[in-house]
Amino acid sequence: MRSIKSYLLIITVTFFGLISTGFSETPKEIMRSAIDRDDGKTQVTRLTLSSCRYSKKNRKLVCTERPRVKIMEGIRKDFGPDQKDSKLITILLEPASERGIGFLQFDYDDIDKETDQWIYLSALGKVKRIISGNEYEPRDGSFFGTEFNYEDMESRNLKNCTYKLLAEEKYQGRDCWVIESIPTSRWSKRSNYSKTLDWIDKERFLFLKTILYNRQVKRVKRITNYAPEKVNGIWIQRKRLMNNMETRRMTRLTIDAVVFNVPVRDDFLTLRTLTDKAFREKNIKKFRKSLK
Amino acid sequence: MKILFTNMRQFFEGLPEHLRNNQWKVWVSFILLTIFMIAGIPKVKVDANLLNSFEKDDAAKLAFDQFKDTFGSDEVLYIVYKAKDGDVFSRESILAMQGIERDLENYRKNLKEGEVSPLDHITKVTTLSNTSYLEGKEGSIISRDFIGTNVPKTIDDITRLKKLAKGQPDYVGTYYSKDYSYGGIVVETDFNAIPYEAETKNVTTGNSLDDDEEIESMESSDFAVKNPPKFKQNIMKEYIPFMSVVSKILNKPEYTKHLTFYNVGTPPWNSFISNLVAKEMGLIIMGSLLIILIFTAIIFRSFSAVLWQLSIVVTSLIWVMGTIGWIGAVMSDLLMMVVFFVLAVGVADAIHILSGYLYFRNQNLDHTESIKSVYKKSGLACFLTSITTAIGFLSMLFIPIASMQKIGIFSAFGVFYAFLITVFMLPVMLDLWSPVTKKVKENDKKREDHFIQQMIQRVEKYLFRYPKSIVLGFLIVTITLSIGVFDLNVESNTIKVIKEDLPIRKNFALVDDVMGGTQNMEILVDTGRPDGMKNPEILKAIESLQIYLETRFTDSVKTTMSLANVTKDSFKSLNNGDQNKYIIPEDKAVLENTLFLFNNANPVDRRRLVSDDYQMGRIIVRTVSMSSKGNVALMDATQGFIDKNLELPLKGQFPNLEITLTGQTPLLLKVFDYLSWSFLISFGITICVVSLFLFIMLNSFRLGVVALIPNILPVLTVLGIMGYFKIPLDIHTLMIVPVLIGIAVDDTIHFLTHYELEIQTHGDNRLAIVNSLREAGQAIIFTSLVLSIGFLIFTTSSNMGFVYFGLLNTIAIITAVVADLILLPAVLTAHEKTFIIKTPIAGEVVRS
Repeated sequence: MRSIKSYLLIITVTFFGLISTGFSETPKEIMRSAIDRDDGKTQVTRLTLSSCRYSKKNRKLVCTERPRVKIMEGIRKDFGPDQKDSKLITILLEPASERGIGFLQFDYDDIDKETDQWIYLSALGKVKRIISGNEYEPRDGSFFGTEFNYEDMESRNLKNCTYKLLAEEKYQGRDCWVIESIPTSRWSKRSNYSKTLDWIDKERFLFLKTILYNRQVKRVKRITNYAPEKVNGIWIQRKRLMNNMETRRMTRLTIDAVVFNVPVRDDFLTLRTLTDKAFREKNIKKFRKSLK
Repeated sequence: MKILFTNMRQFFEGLPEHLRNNQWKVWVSFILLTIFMIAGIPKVKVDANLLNSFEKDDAAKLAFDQFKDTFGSDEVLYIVYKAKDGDVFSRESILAMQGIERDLENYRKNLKEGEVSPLDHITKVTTLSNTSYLEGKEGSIISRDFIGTNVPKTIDDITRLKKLAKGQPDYVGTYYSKDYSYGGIVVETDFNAIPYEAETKNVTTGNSLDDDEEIESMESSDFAVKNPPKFKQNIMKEYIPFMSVVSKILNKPEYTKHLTFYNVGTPPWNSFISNLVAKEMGLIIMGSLLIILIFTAIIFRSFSAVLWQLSIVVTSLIWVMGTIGWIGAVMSDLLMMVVFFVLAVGVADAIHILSGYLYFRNQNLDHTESIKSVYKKSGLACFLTSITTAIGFLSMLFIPIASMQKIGIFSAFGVFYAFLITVFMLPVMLDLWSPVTKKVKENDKKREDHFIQQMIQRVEKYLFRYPKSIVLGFLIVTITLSIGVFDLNVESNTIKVIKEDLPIRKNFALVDDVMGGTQNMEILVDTGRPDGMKNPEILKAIESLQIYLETRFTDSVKTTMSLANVTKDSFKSLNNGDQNKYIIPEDKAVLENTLFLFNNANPVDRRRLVSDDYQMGRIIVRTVSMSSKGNVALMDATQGFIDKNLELPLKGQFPNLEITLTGQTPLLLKVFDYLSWSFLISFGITICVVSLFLFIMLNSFRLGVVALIPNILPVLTVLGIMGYFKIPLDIHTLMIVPVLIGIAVDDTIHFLTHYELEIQTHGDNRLAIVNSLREAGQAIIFTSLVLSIGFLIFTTSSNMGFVYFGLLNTIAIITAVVADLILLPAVLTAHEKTFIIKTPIAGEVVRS
């Protein structure tokens, strides 16, 4: 559904582009197309997250230490009237010392509704609900000890920002829009960032690069997404690099294997999957077969 | 050697005439050289504080660099505030404190992108409001700011908040005082810990919106070889704008209405030092130069003497500065010391020649003859004293601290320049304008001797009458003073050195009293392998060290913080806030889960305490400001405990375990240790070299030994007085040593070269003493008088170190004069038969 919308949008853009050279798409619509891009109703992924401190060598970031590697499996399913809410379960496979630690997270499209999050600590055998931040405080916890925080990993909500088209330029050999997002006064209290710049592929509506400014309006993070590929008819970028310029550390997220739109039972995305290893393994095995 | 000296004497005797015959050439080359040196002055770079000045491969520095590389700077601005309503938990106090927190964090909002602000040095601001708080309630973990948006509205809210705060043992003493009347804002900075590489701009200036993107490489073959970390050195002056912007925020009426502030920590201290003391130092040097000139005018009763002396001192300084500039050496703030040493040495050289000139003019020699005589008598002495003084300064090369080595090198340059300018320029200067009209009128002969000459003549009488009693008297005084030396204390804590009534010192005292101390010691724990810090035994060992320090040093150690603290806190939260679970979990897997939770909740705090790979951890030990004695005791005890209870039992499991004391305090102590030892070594070496010199020069071992007496006496006197009066040996008072070498040894050499020439000339001991006293003695007294009065200006400083520096130098100089002009002749008289060299060299002009 969303892909058709995007397709139509491209046609519209191209059409208007032909009849009026001065024409450009409104930034908000571009963002809408990028955010609402089809990402499947369900998604099963195996991820590797490598993190290290780096140093710069001829504009190249090079690890100065052996990267710390975490491997995990994630299962997402969309819910809600427009399929805009989602439930996500993530289980750590590696390192061995953290194997079995898992997260369950419910994200809501309604900006008044806070994300629900549970952690399962395997060695303690305990599930804890995590409440992050006071009201109106950003969630700055780290995603599995990487340079990504929870906000970086969440899908964005169009209603949270105002948008401005800053430029159109080529990036990664693709024509891009460069869009600036400024949080609404309401969102600015919750977000870790005061400004975001996005490079959006004009054709595929993929985010190619994102620059994040912290609350002190200092440029602190750069996320680059690359290695695009079509899986199950859906564009993905296999690699995502987070460069935390402030801490001089980077994390690379690699999608080792992914599958979209496999049937996931609703009761799989519950606390039971976290705590009941047998139940979890039984279900995940099925997904693993179809991973690409 | 004797022949060499004789040849040199002849060279110096003939030099003035040669120079005067080529007056214009001399002047032109002098002026050209000076212009060249002036051009170099703008290139002088003053940089770095003492801590940055270790040699590159110094173990203590490497450990500290490793620490900074992992945990960042340990330079923290600690803003302690007093609530005007007496309660830092009141709504007003909290709102004001939050306002400051916001201002310090969000200062960039009013700046353009890329605009630089002194506050860019801030890396983290932590307050009672935003400190991370992990709360465990049935089934959930709440990770949030401690107060944040939940500012208390009612008395009940306040009571509840206080109760909650009490449950966090690490908050008290850092964010609030026990009686709730004081609070603290911890402002972490990146001073002296900015990696060199990070300096590359990360702000866009080109056409693209992001023109400095890098390509990442995480392939193992692309590992960067981990070079030893290198950091940008922040100069002392950088702290001034930082603190002034902070103060501007704190002085906003909305904050001062509710809170009173007391800033402590490295930034306010360094800002204070560079603001006040550096300026003061300039004034003091100017003041002492002025006093020196006034006294020169009084003693010589001549303006030309003042003008030429000023010219010599100023050009020597210009030449030194120019040399520093052209060489491109980066100097420390101690550059002022070079200025002062050059000033003292330049003054001494000029006075010796001028005094000699005047002496001979008073002996009715004409202008040309006087110059010739003084060059013959004092030229060699000036040369020799320049060499010994230069050796004294160059011996600072033995101090393994780069900035001190540079002080030594350039002071030696200064000595050399002062000598060159004095010897080569004074004859032509005196030709241009001499202190006495070139043709002395006949009736001028009746002119009375200078009061100093009268004084000397009085001394002579006693000298020959009671030589043994004089020697005995000095012996008694020396022994008495030597006893005091044993009470000598070393002080590396600069805070303890400034006057007690200065506001900043009061701030430190207050914060030591009501909060968790003003001084930091860091303990770096390197387990030698990744995830080492996830081991329960390591954490328990760290905990035991913390408990030991907190219980054994209750007066000094205020708080300690490590991964053990947050582990206990997180584990407690995981167990629904059960106080009994404020422990380090025994089970490794449980500990790992606990740490996982903490890292997830609070990666920033985690990073402050343990490295990303959990190989290295840190223990922050906050203490009150202590004297070096206290610090040494604490560090020794800590090291002892580490060796016995940490390293020894854990070595089996962690063979590469290394636990190092680091941070500013231990490092300063180390710097100081180097300094005091090196100064002693440097003094020892100089004394040896000088003795060797004297042995050769005087051609007598015994005379050489005797020559040492007047040099050791001032040192013993100064150290003894310091011991008796509890004046600590610190960075300032240590500087007396080179001055002593520069002046005391010079006095001896001047006296003995005169004496030796006299003995050679006519072989009469007493006559030699009388003539030496009258000629060299006068110059020695002039120099010493002028310099000691110059040094007294230092006593007006607000820095006790400088006050003592001035006072003790004055004492040292006076002691040196007394030793050289009374003790030395007394010894020579008492043992007359031993010293007389009975073979006058033929061809020497006998003068009676």
